[in-house]
Amino acid sequence: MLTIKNLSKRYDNGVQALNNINLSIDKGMFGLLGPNGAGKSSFMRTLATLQLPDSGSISFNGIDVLAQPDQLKKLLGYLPQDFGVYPRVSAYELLDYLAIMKGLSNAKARKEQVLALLQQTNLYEHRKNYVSTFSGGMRRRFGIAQALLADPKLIMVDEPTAGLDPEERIRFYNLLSDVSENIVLILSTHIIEDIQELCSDMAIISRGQVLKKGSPKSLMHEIKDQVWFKQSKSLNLSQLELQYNVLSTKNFGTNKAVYVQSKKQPEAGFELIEPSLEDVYFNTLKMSNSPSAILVNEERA
Amino acid sequence: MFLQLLSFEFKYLSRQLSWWFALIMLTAFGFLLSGRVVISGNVFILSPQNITYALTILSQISIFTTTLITANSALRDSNYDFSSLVETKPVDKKVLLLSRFVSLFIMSLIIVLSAITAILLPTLMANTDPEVYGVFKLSYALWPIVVIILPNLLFTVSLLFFSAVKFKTSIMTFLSGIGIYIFYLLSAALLDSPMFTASDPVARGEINYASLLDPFAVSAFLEQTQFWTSEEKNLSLINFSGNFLYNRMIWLFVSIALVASLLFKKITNKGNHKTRFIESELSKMPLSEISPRTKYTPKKPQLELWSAFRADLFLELRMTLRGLPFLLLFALVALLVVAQIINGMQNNYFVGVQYAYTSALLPYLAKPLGMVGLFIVVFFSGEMVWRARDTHFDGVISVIPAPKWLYFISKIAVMACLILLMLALIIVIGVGYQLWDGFYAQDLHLFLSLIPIYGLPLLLMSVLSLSVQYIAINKYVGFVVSAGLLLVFKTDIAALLGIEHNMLRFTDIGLHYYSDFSGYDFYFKSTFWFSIYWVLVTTVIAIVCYGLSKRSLDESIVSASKRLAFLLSKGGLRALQLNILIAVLCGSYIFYNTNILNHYVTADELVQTQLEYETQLQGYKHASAPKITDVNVEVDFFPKQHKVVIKGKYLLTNAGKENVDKFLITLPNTEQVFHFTLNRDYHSSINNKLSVVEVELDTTLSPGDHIKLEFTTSLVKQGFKNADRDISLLTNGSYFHGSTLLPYMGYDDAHELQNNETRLVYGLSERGTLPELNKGKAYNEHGHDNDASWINFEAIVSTSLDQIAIAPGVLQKQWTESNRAFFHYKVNNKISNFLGFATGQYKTKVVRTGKTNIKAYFHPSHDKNIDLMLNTATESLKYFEQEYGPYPFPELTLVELPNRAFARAYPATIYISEHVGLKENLAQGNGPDDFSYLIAHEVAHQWWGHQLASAKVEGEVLLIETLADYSALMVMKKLYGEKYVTGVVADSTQQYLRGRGSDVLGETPLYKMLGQRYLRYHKGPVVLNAIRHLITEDKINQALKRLLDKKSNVRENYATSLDLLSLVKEISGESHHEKIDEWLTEIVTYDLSISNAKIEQLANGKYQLTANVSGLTFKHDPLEQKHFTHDVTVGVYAEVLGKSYLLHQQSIQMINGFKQVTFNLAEAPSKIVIDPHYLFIDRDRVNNENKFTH
Repeated sequence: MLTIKNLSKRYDNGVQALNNINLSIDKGMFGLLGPNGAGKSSFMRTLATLQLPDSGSISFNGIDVLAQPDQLKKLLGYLPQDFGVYPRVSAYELLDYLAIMKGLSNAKARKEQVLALLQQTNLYEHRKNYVSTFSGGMRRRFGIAQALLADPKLIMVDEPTAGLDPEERIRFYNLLSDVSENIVLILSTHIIEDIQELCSDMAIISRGQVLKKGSPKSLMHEIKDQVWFKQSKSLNLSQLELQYNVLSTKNFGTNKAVYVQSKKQPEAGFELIEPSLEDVYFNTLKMSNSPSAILVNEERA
Repeated sequence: MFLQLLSFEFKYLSRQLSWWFALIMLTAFGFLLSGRVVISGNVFILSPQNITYALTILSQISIFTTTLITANSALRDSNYDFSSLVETKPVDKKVLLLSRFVSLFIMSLIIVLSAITAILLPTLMANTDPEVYGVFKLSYALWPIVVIILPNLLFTVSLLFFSAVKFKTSIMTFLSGIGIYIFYLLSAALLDSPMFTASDPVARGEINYASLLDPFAVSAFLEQTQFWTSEEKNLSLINFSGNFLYNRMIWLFVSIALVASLLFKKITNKGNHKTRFIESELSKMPLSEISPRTKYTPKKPQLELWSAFRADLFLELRMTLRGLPFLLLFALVALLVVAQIINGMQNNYFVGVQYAYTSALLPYLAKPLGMVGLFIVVFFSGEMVWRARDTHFDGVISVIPAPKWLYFISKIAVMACLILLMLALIIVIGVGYQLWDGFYAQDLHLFLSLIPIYGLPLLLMSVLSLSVQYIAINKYVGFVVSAGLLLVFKTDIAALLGIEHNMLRFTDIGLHYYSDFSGYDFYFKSTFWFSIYWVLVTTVIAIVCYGLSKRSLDESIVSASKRLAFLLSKGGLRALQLNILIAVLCGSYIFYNTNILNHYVTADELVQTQLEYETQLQGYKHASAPKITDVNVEVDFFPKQHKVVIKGKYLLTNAGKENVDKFLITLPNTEQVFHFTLNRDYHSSINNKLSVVEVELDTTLSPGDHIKLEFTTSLVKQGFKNADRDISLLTNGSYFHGSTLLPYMGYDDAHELQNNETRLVYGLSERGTLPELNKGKAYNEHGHDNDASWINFEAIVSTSLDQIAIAPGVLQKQWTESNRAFFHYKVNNKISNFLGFATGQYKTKVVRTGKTNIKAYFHPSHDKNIDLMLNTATESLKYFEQEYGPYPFPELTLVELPNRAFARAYPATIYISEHVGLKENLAQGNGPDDFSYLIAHEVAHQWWGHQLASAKVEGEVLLIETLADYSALMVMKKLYGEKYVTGVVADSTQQYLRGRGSDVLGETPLYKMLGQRYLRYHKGPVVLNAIRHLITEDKINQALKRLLDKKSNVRENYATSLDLLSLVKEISGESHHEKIDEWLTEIVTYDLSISNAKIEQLANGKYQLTANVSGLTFKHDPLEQKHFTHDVTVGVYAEVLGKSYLLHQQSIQMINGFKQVTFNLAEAPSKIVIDPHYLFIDRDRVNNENKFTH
């Protein structure tokens, strides 16, 4: 169990990156959703002990993470969004090096684990090649392999499928699902469908604050019967935005479409649809940004 | 875990190109050092002294290789974006850091050890002659490795590692590396390190700051061994004691502290996550729809180009100028320049404090541009190119419609701005220094000349570096290749590889000298053409590299070069062709000038010519040749045309006992044009290569018979040379020594190969030295007896109307004719064939003393010391005439010469180069007046040298140079008091002791000296001064006067040092003979000391001083140490208000080298000194004195 209490961080330029975050995260895949600059990366890095917050506490399985970061690191697997690799070092050698740093000092056990992980991530054939020659997808798999060293209890992956082709993406998630049954796995991504499909719990973060927390299903259920859709060639989008709570608009060249949140039908041509997690996301953000817009809706309702 | 981490580090480093490159480079450097004596002096190649010094040099160079691998290794986590994978692991940071540090140290050590092997192995394998190589013991190498290499390397790696971890960027690491080197140089320069031979010798026991603050212990090593003799240097290892020990302890402590501070730093994990701004929601909303009808009107294409160029230029400039590296580097340049100025203008060895003439200041402004300039060029150009590539910005840039070459040009422009800024900084500092020093006659043209002379080559180097970076596959390869290329061409490495011609030495615009007399003079032409040439060649390189840089990502340079024409657009190809064409034309013109119009001689060719001269003309070497008895010349200078025409008449005599049928005329200058006729029939053949004419007479020249030789010879500068060292013909200040242009009658051994080592290689015997000095033998060849014994001399010298011309002798008449000025000089008695001719736009000043006119000809702006010079000349003449005899001419002329650094005395004429004191700041408190010492010395030569006829034999130099020095010293005593003499003697003693350890010829006793500097200018005057104290100034002058009376103007049985010795002994009386013999005819040093000195106040108010006095005498040949047996003075002094005066003086005779002395004194003494007048050359002067504190 990962418990985060009152986590706050303010950067030197005055930006409040984390604003009193409170979260409890249990075993399973936990999705983290939010716009750029929401504080997702700050949050991940803080959890991964890469930076210190101004205030608050983090505890994992009884470990006070802020006071004893090394203890967490023994149980942590971290796959950052961007990383490079040393030149002229083979996959085996580099993974072995990271394994040493992880604390696998017994040479035999370490060798076994390294080879097993390389197999699991389909890199065994390339284990003697220089990692610097790997394609993007292979590198990511290497990243996952090192995140899985020494049976971590907490895994954090940040935008893990950026740059992977569809097949690699599916394979990647299959791997994660296998692993995540009995551990806490936090997945931060922009790909909303992935969270919808894979995560048992999630949070939406914006401007350093947790706006919503819950399972994707329950969050979608909250706005059931409130999402309306219209498509036509002659939609006056700007007009609609003034009148209703527009969640998102889409342009298909001449065709335009709009999604609106409303407790009753906004106007003719709108049909009720099943809310998707995307709708939940846009709605949540809208509500946090412009309370006046909601008022408008309330009035109309 | 530590060992496992360590093993990864080794694996990693050993695969990095930079480590291999460093290994190869340093090993190659070691190879270059192999088989040489790198330290001055007479030591074996495999002696501990030589090996140790070679290792210290290696230490310094290894800074750069260590920097390279440290930057690569210690920063790899941030360089390769790997940090987040490492920092999330529970590994103990201390252990991780330590593993990286230890691996760096060991890998650097491997490189250094490899280089050491490269130094030693070839020599050990080739080891032949123990006389040259010595006998090698492993300890000679192991000991310096342990006490010098290991601590030095530890410090270097510690500092660089510290800097890498602390500052996290490669530039700071590089700067730290450079910083170490500069700190080391600065501390050595400013703290008077023995590394600079000009420093004051450090008395044993004195804490010398340079020895302590030098992280590489070079100063400490030199300081410990500065007085070691050659034998000690060949056999002894350096002692781990004294300043050397303290130094090692200090720097070991620093190294450990640096590493410890990293390991035990509290890790505050703020993280270096870059803060990002959060966009407000509103700004994310799109602005009102962009009207699809908004038109984009393009500007005129040329304006577009210019705007794009300007925009990129300012962008790059801003990024560069705002960075910390720029500020640091410029601060470094400023610091260096200031240090150079202080060292060169305020602490200059040769001239003490200089007036802040721009011409004097300029060399010190330009020096820092060497190493630091190279660094700036390589680093900033590399950074600029890779900034775009590293930040992946090139993807964006590549779609902008401006041509790509524009960005290349703007980078060149950025470098030009950087270089101009640096030069501006240097000039501002220079002008600032001048104003601070009260000098207001700034020569702005000269300051600005820094731009084409230093700025342009730097810019061209930048272009080369940019070009290399453009085609390099990665950053480090680019840095290494560009730095390597520039190092090869800009240092001596090129010469070692045989690259001598400026057209092959990248951006070398050739030799040039500047003088206030005629500016850059004829060098303007050569530097101009070489500059144009290198601009063109660099442009060609840049265009080619630019083309290659457009190749596709996986294409190699080789295959890209095959389709270069395609890669370059039409315009690019045309530009390339045009540039190649003009470069070839320019190169041809230069080649025509340097190799066809003028002789281009490589070092090897010169050696070959010298060899051929000796082998082919052996027959003439010992055959009789006619001697010159009369010289009558017309010398016509054409300064503006760099031309001189000489019409001469020699009267030749067969002065030998055999008939002469053929003889040789040697022409000193390979470029002079020469025609001659004889007044009898002859056949002649000229050999242009050897520069000789072989003359065969139709009728024999019998002994005593005469021949008249009439000749015309001329020298003119044509076009320009590759490296023109001949400054005899200038538009102002021309000068040549007679034997450099006047034909030499006979075989001239000055044309032989001089270097004995090289001679041995070619199977020639060593060059002979002077004939042996034997008692009772009459020597009938005088010192300057070459192709003439004594000559009658007369000359008419002409020059342009605005100049004065000078020749030896007395000016008889001067007039103007056909728009030229004529001067007629004549000498009334015979002189030796030692002549010199000059012309210049001089200012004149004349003073009269007795019946002599003393004239000074000098450059109008070098007038600050003229009065002093004339005054000293006057006092010298007075003293010498009074003590030695009349001055034989009615006038004495002192003439200033541009550029050079010597003074030379001819009959009635003395030439003083501008750099030996005319520009020296001799205001009060700026050090002793060594300029006057020089002037007095030159005037003394009018007796010692031009009146005394000395024989060509061992010890001759004693009668010429040492007596001149001693006589000058007496004049200085008259002007400045005994204090001046004591200062000179104290300094000369140290110079002697130091000089004898470096003697390659081997030391000889004074009376048989062969011209060694430390004998003739240092031991000599010290000994003569000691004799003066022994027998009084009057008596010694009497002896000197008798010498002159006996041996002036004789024609045979010339004076030798034995004559001086016997005259001095005659006058001195027998009691002094032992000392005089020891000092003049043996090699002896002493060590006198005072110890256990105590003062006790007696009941009657008097003071009783007791002390132990002891002494040792060290004889040299054979080596012997014995008790000091001479009587010696002990002096007791008191001090009142800063001045000391004598309380009591007593002559002491030691028994078995020891004596206890007791003195009863009326006042409290402040110090006791043994041998206060420096009669005995003491190895350690510090223990001669004991000061008492009250």
